[in-house]
Amino acid sequence: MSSNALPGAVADLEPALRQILGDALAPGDAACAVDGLVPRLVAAPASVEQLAAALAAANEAGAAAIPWGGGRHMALGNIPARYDIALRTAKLDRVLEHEPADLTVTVEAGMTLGRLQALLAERGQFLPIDPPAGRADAPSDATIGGVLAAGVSGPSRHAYGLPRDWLLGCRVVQADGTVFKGGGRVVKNVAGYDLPKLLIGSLGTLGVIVEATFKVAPLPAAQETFLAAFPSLPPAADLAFAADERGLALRALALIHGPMSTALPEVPASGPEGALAAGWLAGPQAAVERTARELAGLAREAQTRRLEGQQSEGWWARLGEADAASEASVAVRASLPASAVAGFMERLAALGREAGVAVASLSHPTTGLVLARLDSGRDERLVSAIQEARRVAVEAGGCLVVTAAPVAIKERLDVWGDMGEALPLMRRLKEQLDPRGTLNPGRFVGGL
Amino acid sequence: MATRTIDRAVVRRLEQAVGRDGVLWRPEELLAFEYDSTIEKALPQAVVFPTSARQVAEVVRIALAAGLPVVPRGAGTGLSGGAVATLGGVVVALTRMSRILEIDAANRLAVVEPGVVNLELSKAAEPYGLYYAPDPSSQRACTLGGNVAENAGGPHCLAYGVTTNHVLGLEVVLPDGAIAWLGGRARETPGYDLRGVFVGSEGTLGIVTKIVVRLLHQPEATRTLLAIFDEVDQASEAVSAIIGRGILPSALEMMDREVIRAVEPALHVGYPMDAGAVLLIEVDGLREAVAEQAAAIRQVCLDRGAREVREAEEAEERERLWAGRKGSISALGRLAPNYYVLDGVVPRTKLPQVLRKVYEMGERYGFPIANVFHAGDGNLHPNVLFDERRPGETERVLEVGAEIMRLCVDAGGSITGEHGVGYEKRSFMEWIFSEADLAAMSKVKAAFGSSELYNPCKLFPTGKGCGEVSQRKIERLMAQVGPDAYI
Ligand SMILES: Cc1cc2nc3c(=O)[nH]c(=O)nc-3n(C[C@H](O)[C@H](O)[C@H](O)COP(=O)(O)OP(=O)(O)OC[C@H]3O[C@@H](n4cnc5c(N)ncnc54)[C@H](O)[C@@H]3O)c2cc1C
Repeated sequence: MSSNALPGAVADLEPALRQILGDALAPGDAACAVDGLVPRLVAAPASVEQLAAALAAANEAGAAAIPWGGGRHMALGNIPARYDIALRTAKLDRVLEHEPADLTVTVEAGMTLGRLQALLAERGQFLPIDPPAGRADAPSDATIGGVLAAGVSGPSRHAYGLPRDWLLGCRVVQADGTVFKGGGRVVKNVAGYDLPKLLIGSLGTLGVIVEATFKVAPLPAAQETFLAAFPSLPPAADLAFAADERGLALRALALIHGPMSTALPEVPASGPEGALAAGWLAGPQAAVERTARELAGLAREAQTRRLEGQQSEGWWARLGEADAASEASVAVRASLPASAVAGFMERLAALGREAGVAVASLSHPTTGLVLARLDSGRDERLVSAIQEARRVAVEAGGCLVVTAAPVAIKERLDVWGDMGEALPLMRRLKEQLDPRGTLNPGRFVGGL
Repeated sequence: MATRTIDRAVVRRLEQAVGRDGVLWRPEELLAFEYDSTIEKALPQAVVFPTSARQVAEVVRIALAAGLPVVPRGAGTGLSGGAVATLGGVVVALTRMSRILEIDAANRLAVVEPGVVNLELSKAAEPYGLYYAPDPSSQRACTLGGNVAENAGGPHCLAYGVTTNHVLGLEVVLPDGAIAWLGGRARETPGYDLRGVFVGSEGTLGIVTKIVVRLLHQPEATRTLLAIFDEVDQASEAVSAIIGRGILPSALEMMDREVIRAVEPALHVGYPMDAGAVLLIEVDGLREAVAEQAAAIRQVCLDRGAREVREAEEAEERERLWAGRKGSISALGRLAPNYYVLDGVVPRTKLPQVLRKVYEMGERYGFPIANVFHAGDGNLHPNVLFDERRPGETERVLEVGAEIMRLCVDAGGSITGEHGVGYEKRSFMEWIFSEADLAAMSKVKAAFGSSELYNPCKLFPTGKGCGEVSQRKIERLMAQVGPDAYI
């Protein structure tokens, strides 16, 4: 996308923004850096109107803006082409509507996911979106808007599906300041194009999500965790798929391979090639009890452990932190047909051995998601390992995205991979909604 | 209505693309394609039956080059006028692309052509212990392509979601004739979720030529309950109490007194004639889970004043209970010569008050209104009973229809839960979407390279030459879908 940025106009921007934002405008600082780029300004608007006015001014001036939620998933994306303003959404954090009996909730998108969950829990409900925690050094917890824009999801996708299945509607500020909404506030609705779908995973390149309406779920009556450690991956994967086949009362099923499992609490020992299958049992008490019995039967060959109460909850939170990449390492996520997951994880491990790269992987196998961390002192090894892993994923009918990597690595590959025939369409969509390339320029697929 | 003709040279080009037996163009041949299942009608200038994506692309190019509108069409069971060639043009009928290309049991997915009939897919998946969840009541007739275009729902979508929750990938012919895959076989693909916005786009963004859908395991156990109430208010309060208690049945359907009065004498399924309303409730999953849920549901219904809660003991009884639900629309024919099916959504907690107002409106206009609908997700289907032979009656039916839609909007709901906007409800779009909202949708349409020629007069409130929504004729529905179709 061509840049219309005139240095002069960008320089004039500060007074214009000051007028709109007052104290809510600050000089850029390293806490808002993206891939090492530090913005000149940080804006923290207190209302949708303010955010829209600020973004419109930036757009007018040809400046580049990056919306900032909690900063948890800021490692995702290619290196920004330009970055003038960080647009923080944290002050947009109100609950707009919650009718517990309707099982719907509308909130501003700067609210943290954690706060929303706490609020829902008071009414015995939750939003079954539990993404990995992302970067531990982020300035705050993940926000609703950030989670949606980054397209991240976690263990509960096994039983509950993806964020796209729970978002009913949203309000969005376009680059020119226009505010539009898509979808609605009721659980079933086919009026007009389903615009919310386009925003999920768009990495803030089409607009800034400022408000979201979700369907929510009742908290399961009973929950517990079942861990089974095996000497190798295949029997762990067999356990997961057998449990799924039986339709047991499970909120999540995860496989963990390599060193990641030792970083988790309460994990029974399983040797150097070991693998862990984890089940999050959830449902009516009687169904959970039966599920526990059947899992134990399926895992006779394994070292097993049952976790209850806080210990169970906490274990899954720790799992969400386990795949967080350190500054120097690379994190990838592959989305595959379910039957390819175990093979892919094994291939990753082999690749690591061949290439001298340390690999740890975890997966939500029934929904085909693999998250892996790759570490090596040698960049070229990492780059070729990523490329090989991507080739294998694509061959299996899936895809692989690099979700975090040092700049030196990002400079040498496209973190998203090839979009194929759909890219021209995506480009036209971007041009329609953000013709000047104001939002997150360069970070998305195909350099959008 | 003036009959539009078609240039013979264009017909020849279309015939070259799909073969001579794949093109209809003589006016008498076109009559069967004048309708969908609504009240709109308009004659296309040609109907073309391609058998591959490449043929679809070729047909689209020929039509657009000739300046003719393109209108995709599945089985024509649509209830919003989506497949009607409002401005004439070429109807692209996908019914000859009806192969199930693959059932991948290990990955629980299927790859199908758009002309596959919904129920056929579940039948084909059955030997693997799998099924396709979205079950529009027209499932014996409607196509999966049409389901994708409308984002169709059905009675069992309460727990399992509507079409969009089950579509992984789409091969589409874009308005410029290019063929592209949106999504794929995995649960997510990087880039914008174009498949997500395509589902429910009502044939305005392109033509679906292949669909990858998820299949689900058949549940271990199913329990079906019939809760009988004296008053419709009690029934609708029970609905929101069940949901509010955190129970999500797989189906939660309501039939009111008017519907029972039509169904029972015709089908003898055991709905008490003096009941104010019945709820048909189904739970499925693990034996232990459904036992607990069934008990909780029974209690909630009794607490809300249910006179009786029956449970089907055997498959046969369960089918009988469902037969009443499925036969309800055709049975309405006993009460009046015509009925007009509406589709609106309200928050579940607003069901009691909205239903009350719906009845009031019927009384004010002098029409009985029979309600049979997906109560669990607040998706109303009021059926306005009338006689089109009485002068002026059709117009007044449309008026009451519009008022009921307005009622849904004012309650914080939507103008359509599953039938789509189509031609019928375009003018209501402005009730729920601002100019900016609609402009964003137009931008999406432009990005897809779509134009005024691409299924014109659908979904958007304005369109050149589309005129006012008028010239309606309300009848049938059942012809294509068989006697036990239900809405
Ligand atoms: C008795 C009865 C009961 C019904 N019950 C339900 C119900 O429970 N739930 C529900 O959701 N709907 C229901 N419907 C409505 C209707 O059956 C659905 O909307 C269905 O999805 C339409 O499918 P079709 O193949 O008949 O499509 P058509 O009516 O032929 O077309 C519908 C729309 O899809 C477009 N289209 C068709 N094929 C394609 C394609 N391949 N690519 C792009 N666009 C295409 C058309 O242009 C049109 O806009 C019912 C209808 C009847 C008559």
